Amino acid sequence: MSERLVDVKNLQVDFKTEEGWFTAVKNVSFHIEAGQVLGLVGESGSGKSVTAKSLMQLNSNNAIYRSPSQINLYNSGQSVPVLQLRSPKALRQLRGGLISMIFQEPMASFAPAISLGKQMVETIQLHLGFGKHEAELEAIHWLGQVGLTEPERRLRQYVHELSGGMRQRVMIATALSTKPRLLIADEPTTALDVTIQAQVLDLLLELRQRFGMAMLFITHDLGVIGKVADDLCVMQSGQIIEEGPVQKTLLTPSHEYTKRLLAAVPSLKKLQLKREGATKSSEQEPWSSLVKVKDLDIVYESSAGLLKRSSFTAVSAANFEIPTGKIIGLVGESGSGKTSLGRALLKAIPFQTGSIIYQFKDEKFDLNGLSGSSLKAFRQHAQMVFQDPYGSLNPRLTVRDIIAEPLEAMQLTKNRNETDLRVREIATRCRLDLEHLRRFPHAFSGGQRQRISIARALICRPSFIVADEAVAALDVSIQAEILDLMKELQRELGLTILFISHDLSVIANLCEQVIVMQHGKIVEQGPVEQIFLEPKEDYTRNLISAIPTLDNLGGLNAS
Amino acid sequence: MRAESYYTAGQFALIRARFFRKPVSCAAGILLIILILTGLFASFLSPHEPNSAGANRQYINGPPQMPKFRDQDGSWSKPYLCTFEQQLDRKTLRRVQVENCEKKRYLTWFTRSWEYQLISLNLGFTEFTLTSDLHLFGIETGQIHLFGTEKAGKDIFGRTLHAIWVSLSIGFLALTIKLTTSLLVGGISGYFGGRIDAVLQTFTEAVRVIPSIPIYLALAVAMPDEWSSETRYFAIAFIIGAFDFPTLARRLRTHLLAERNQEYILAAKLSGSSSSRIIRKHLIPSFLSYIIVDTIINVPYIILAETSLSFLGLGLSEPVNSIGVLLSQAQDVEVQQSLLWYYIPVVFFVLMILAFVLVGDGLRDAADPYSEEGR
Repeated sequence: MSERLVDVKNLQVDFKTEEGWFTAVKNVSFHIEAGQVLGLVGESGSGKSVTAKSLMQLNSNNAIYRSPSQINLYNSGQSVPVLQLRSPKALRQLRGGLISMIFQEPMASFAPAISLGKQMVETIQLHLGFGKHEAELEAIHWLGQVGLTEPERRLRQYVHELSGGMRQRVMIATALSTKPRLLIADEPTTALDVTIQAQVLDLLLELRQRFGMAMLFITHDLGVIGKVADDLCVMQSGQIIEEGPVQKTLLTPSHEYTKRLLAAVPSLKKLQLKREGATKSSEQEPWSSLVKVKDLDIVYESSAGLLKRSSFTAVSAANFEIPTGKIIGLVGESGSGKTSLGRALLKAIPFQTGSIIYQFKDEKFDLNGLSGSSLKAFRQHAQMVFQDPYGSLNPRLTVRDIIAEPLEAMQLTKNRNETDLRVREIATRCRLDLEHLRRFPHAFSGGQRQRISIARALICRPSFIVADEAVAALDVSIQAEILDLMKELQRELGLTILFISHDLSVIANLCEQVIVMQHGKIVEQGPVEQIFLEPKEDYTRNLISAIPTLDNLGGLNAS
Repeated sequence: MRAESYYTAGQFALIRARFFRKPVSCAAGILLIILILTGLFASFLSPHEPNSAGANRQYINGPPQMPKFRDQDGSWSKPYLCTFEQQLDRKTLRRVQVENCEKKRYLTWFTRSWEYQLISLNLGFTEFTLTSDLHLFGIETGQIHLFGTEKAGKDIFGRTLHAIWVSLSIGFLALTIKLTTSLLVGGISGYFGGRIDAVLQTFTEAVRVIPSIPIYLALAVAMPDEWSSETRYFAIAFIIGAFDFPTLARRLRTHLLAERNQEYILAAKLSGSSSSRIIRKHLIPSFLSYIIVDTIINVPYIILAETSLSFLGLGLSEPVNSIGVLLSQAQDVEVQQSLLWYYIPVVFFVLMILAFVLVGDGLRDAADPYSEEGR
C-alpha cells in the first residue's frame, strides 16, 4: 500500500456564535494516501468546507478544535501536527507549501487590482525561495501546464480579463506552483458552465496522473465525484455517514441519505426509459400557444463616457412559441441571454425590436406599448420566481406581507380579511406552515424561502410563470422537493412555466419542451427527449455530453 | 430549539435587544429620558418664572442657595433656607448678601405659584390651553434660587430647565426639516438614478460646498429685527435643518442605488408595485436603522450649532432661554472671576450632548449586526 499523507482523527470543530456553541463538525476521521483522490460529498452546512479548512487551520477565529481532534500531515518521513501549529512561519509553510487550495469562485480568489503574474510570482518566491526572474519562468511553466495559451501574456493580465474557465486554470496553476503534497479543491467547478466544468475536471485528472498528487475534492455533485475520485466520504450535519471506494458506494449505497443524493443525479437512461414508456402519443397532440415571440432583440445600452454610448446585444432575432399548460425549459450557458429573455417576457426589461404577444384565455396582451393600467392587468397573468431565495425576499417584511404584496400593490382584494384568506390558501398549497406567516425570511432555509417566492408568484392566480434558475441555489435534495412542488402546482392549476436553467439535469427531469440558447441566439428547440437523445446541433451535442452522469460509472475508475 | 420569538423578531426587536445589552448605552438612555422629561416639565419643576417677571430684584448676581437640613445645633430639620439680607459693607461700600439663619424659611412641596401653560394647542378654529399653577416645590416667603441668579435677578435654575427644552425642540425641529429634505432628495435621486439623479446631486453638492458657519451668520444677520423671538426660533431651526441635509441625502442615495438592483425590488415591481410604494415600503425601510441612528447622532451637532449661534449673539437672544443665550451671558470677565454659577447650564449642556452621543453610538452598534463579531 502507498504511503500515508494525511491522517484526520476525531475532528470536532465548534463555533462560538451569538446563540451559543454550534458544532459544525463532529467526530470526523479519514485519511488520504499519497496520490489518492478523496471525494467529500455533502449539502451546504454539512461541514465539508469546515473539515477542509481545518487541514490548513483556515477556519475563522471563533472556531475551536475540541480535543481529541487530531490532524497529522506526513512530510518526507516527518509528522506535522497541524492543529498544534501556532507560529506564523510554520502556518505559512503549511498553507501553500504543503497544502494548496482551489476555491469555488475564481473571480473572488484573485485580487482584482494586481496582475495575475504578480500574484503567482509572489507565491512562488515566498514558498520556493526563487528569485524574481526564476519565479516568473516557473509561473509561465505552470500556466502552460494547465493548458493556457500565451502564458507570458497571462502574467500581465488581470483577473477580470479572463473567462471563468481560464480563471480557474490560473487558480490551479497558482495552487500547483508551490509543489504541494495535497491539493484541496473546494467545489472548483460549481460556478462554471457544464462544458467548462468538463474541461477543468479533465485537466485536474490529467495533472493528477502526471504528478501523482493527492487531492481532497469537495463537491455536492455526485456526478462530478464519480468522475474524479477514488474514495468517497458522504457527510451529513457534521458527520461522515458513509465512506468507501467510489464505485462501490455509488453503485450500492447503504445509507438512505446517499440514496437520496443519487436519485438527484441525471441519468440519460432514465430519459430513454421515459420516452419508450410514453411513445408518440404526446407528440402529435395539438397545442395552442400562449406566447408568440417574433424577431425579438434585446440590446443593453450603457453610457461609456460623457457622450459615447456603447451597446451590448443580449438577445438577437429570437423566434419561438410557448405552448399553453406545459413546462418549457430554457437552457444555455452563462451569458447566453436566457435571463434577459425571461425578463423581457415579463416586461421587466425593455426590448428594442420584435413583438411578444400573449393569448390568455380571455385576454390578449401585446407587450409593445403596454403601460399603466394594462401593464398592471398583465402582471396578474404573468409572474416570476427568482433564483436567489435570499435576495428576492425583502428581509424586513414578514412572510405574510411578502406573499400578499401582489394583492396589496395591485389592490386585487376588497379588504384585509380577504387578503389574509388568499395568503393562507396559497401558503397551504405551497406547503408552508401557517404559523410561519408571522416570521421574517431570515428564519427560513433556502428551500422554504423558495416556497415563499413561489407562493408570492402564484397568489394573484397567474397562468404564466417564469422561473429563473429557481432551484440553482438549493441543495440537491431540496431541489427535488421544489421541483416536485412546481410540477404538482403546474398540473393542478394548469400553469404554463418557462423554466430557465443552466442545469441540464434539472431540465431533463422537469420539462416537456426545451429551448437551447447560445450567445443570444436560439440554437435548437423541441421536445425534451429529442433534444437530449438526438440533438441536431453541434452545440447542443457538446452541452449534453458534458453533463457528468453516473451512466458509465462501471468503466471510468478502472484505470 | 430556539424560542418562537427569535423567528418572529423584527429588525427593531433585534436592535433593542442588542442595545439593552450594553450598560453604558442603557445609562445614557436613562439620562436622556430624564433630561427630556426635565425639559418637558420645566415649568412644573421651577419655582419661579424664568423671565423678568420672576426676577428677584433683591438678590442680583446672587450665589446658589442650597437648602439646609440641619439646625445650628446639629439636629435634623425640614429643609429650610436662611434669609438673605442686603447690607452695605462699610469698607468697600458694596452691597453684600448676608445670611441670617435666625429667620428660617421652610421649603414647601407642590406649591401653587405662578401660572404656566401645560398644553397649548392652536388648531386654527379652536384653541385649547391647559394652564396650571402647580409646582414641585417652593418656599414660604421670598424666593429660592438653587443655581443663583444673574445680573437681572432672574433665576438660573428655572432658566436652565427651560433652556433644555428650547435647545432640544430646536434640535428636533431642525432634524424634522433635515430628514424630510434628505429622504425626499435622496430617495428620488437614488431610486430613479440617471438624469434626475445627476440634477439633484449637482444641487446637493452646491449646498454642501457652502461653508456652514458663515452662511448661518449671514442668514442670522439678514433676519429682520422686528421678528419676534418665536419667528426667529423657527427661522433658525429651518436654516440649520435646511443646510444639513446633503450628507444624509447622499448616503441614502448611494444606498438606494445599490439596493434598487436587488431582486426583491424587481419582485415588487413585477408584483405591480408603483414607484412610490417601492420607495416607501421597500427601499426606505431597508435604510431605516441607519437613518434613525444618523439622526440621533446628529442631534447634538444641531444643538451645538444653535448654541454657538446664540453664543455669538446671532441666534436666539434674551429673553428667550436657550443654552446658547445663557452661555453668552457668561462672557463677562467679572462672571469668569467671581460669578461661577453662571456656568451651571454648561453641565446640563455637556450631559445632554454626552447622552445623545452615547445613545447614538449604542444604537449604531446595535443596528449593525456585524459590529460584535469584530474580534
